[in-house]
Order: sequence, then structure tokens, then C-alpha cells
Amino acid sequence: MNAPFSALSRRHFLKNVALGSAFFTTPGLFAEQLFETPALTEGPFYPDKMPLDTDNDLLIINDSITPAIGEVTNITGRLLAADGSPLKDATIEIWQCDANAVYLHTADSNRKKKKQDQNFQGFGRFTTGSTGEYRFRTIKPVPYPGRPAPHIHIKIKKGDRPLLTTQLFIRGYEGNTKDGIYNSTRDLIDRELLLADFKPVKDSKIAELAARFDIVVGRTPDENSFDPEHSNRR
Amino acid sequence: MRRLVVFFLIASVITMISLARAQPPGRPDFGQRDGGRKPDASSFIKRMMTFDANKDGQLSKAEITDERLLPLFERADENHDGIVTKEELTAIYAKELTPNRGMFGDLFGPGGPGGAGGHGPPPHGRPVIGEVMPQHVKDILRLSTAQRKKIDALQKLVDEKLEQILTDEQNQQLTEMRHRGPGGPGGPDGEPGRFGPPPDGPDGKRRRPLDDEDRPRRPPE
Repeated sequence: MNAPFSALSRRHFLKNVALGSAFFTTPGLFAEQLFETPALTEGPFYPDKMPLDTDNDLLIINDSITPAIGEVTNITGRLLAADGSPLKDATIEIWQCDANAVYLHTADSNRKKKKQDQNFQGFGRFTTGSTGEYRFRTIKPVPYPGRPAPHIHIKIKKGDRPLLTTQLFIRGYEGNTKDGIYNSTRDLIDRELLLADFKPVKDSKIAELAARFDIVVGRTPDENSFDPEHSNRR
Repeated sequence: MRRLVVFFLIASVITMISLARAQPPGRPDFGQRDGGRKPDASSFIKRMMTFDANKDGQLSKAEITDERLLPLFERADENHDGIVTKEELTAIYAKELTPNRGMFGDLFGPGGPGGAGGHGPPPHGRPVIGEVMPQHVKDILRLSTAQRKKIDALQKLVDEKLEQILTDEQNQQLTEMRHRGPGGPGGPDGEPGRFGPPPDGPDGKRRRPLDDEDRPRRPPE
């Protein structure tokens, strides 16, 4: 064997070792990645005037003793990055129309004053902790004129920066497939990621429902690092 | 020895190709979104198959690492053997998506209703009449927050002007069209009011005092 050939094969061997190691360390190839929750339109009724109470209990405004009308629903879930790590210190905002299909937005409520449920908070916020868990108490969403699919609007923010705006739907609700927004999702996977089961809570005296909805947020284009610990992954 | 070098070269090329093709579920088919390819069963199957860890061409329950998709897996597993094949994925796609003309029939059929200013049918969602830029286009263009805010402001302006230009009756008609489609049943694309506030809205001319029985709704922020 002559010397130049030997050098060549060494180079190729090293190159292949390098490529081989790249193969095994490339993130996402075998890691348990999650699909991102698809974005959906914000719609016209993000509150134009915030309620005095913006906590995560939409059934009770401040210390009122009259709860909102509707099927009491506990929505819980986790806010995650695509690699499954929890997103902490992120704010989840939800808003939805009341049981009489009136939004907390003057463009909607001003013309439906008599119908509006004055005890429904209409909007709530929750800031995640280290586990990324969130929780809301609200009503089961109802259809809205022109929107046969009952839905809850969701907006995720980190500080003032919006990370995701989307909507949550009720799995199996027959109006879903007639709903333009629901139908605008790309495929079955995206639809699935926007659905939650609303199941009766066992032994609940007030027939409460529970819905579990995990939200997976990807990296948004305009940010540098919202999650430095995992910034090497995406 | 020379053969060995050639072998390594081929192996490295194959490695690079497989690296380029591998796609984690976390950021699925950007190419598809960008390229605006027609979504069909094959792209759905391809996305699902990103879970196929052992590369046997079918999915087992244990491979579905994103638990949010387990209900879909279980619906797809028609013979309840704990395995979902490509055939089963094709079947559930046909069952749950194809009959729904709102999804693709409207989108890709020639001359879809309400085509936004002749831009052609979008790959994603029906065009909303008067919408400056649909959400998915913003996503594709990767608009910054500042740009999104500017587009939102522009949208508000467009909505307001549009409402002024049209008569009440026309506004009403437009709202109805948005919900039913001008030429037949289509999916509604949003809530009424999308085209701006009604006359007594926040920016309207006939502003009425809001605070009579208007409970704790004054702006705290």
C-alpha cells in the first residue's frame, strides 16, 4: 500500500466517523417529538375592554356570588415545547362566548345586551409554572351564529410576545365538520390536535365536566431563544 | 482498499440523504406548507409515519409518542389489533375527510367561491373576503410580531373602510356570504362582526354610553 492512498482512506474514514456521529446526535431523528398545535385565526372578539377580573375562573367575576350560566368545565393541560419540555412563565389567555352566545366584546355585546350573561367573565388568564401545567374553570363552549363548532379561543404569550393563537374544539361535536375554521385545518392530525374530550367528572354534584388539552408551541420566527435550555434542538 | 473507499463514499451519501429526508414530527412538512402542495392522504400518512420508529411501515400504539394522537390511532385501528397500517390510515382519511367538501372540494375546485381578488385558491383554508392576509400566509412568510401588528392595523382599516363603502344591506349580505358562501353551502370562516364593528361599536359613529348596567367592564389595563 502506498502512502498517498493510505492518507486518502484515513481522510474518508474520519469523514465517515464524523458523519456517523452526526447521524446519531441529530436531534429529532429518534427523539420523542410532538406535533405543534396548529394556529387558527384569533377572530374578531378578543376582548376590547378587559374585565376587571381576568383570573382563571371564568364562572365567577371577582367575589360575586352568582356563577355564570352553562355547563361547568374544568380545562387542564400542559404547555409544552415540541421536545416535550414544559414551557414555564408563559401566559395562556382564553376567551369564549357565554351560554347565550355573546362575546365579551362591545362589537358583539352592545347589540345583545339583553341576552348577555352578566356573570360570565368571558376571558381569563393563567401563567404557567415550572411544570407547564395550566387550569381554567369555565363553561362548556356553545355554538355561535355562523360558527357551528363550539370553541374556546386560546392565545399563548411569553411576556408581550404572542407565541400561538388557536382554538379548542369539542371532540365528536356534530357541528364541527360544518365549521369553516375547523375545516380549514390541514389534515386529520391538525384537527386531532385541536380537539378535547369533555368528560363528566365522577361524583360531581353539579355535573361538572373535565377537558384535557395539551398545547405544543414551536419556536416563533421572530424570537431568538424563549427556552435557552432547549435552544439547540430547533 | 479502493473499493472500501468507494463503499464509504456511497455510505456517506446515503447517510446524508437519510438525514435530509428524516423529519421529526415536531416540525412536520414545512416543505408542503411552503410549496402549497395539495394535502392528501399520502401527506397525512407521511406525517403519521414519522412515528414509525422501527421502520416496519406500520404503527403500533407504543410508537405514538404524541399521546394527543392516540384517539386518532384508535379510530384508525379498525380491526383493533393494536397496529395501524397504511391501508387503515388511508381508510380513516377517506372516512373522516373526503365526504366533507368544505375541506378540499371548496379549496381546490376550479373557481372556488369568493376567491380573494383572484389570487387563486390557497393551500390552506378558504379565503376570507376582505382579509388582507390569512393566518397561514403570515406563518409561511414568518412575519415578525411588529409586522403582524401592522397587518392587524391594516386589516382594521380595511374592515372599517369596507363597511363604510357598503350599504347596511350589502354589509348584511357580505356577512351572510361569509357564512354560507355566495354560491351554495360552504364552511363559514369566522364569526359575524369580522368586517368591523357595528355602527354602535367602539369605532362607530353612533356611539352609545356603555356604562349603564354594563357591569365591571371598564378598561383596567
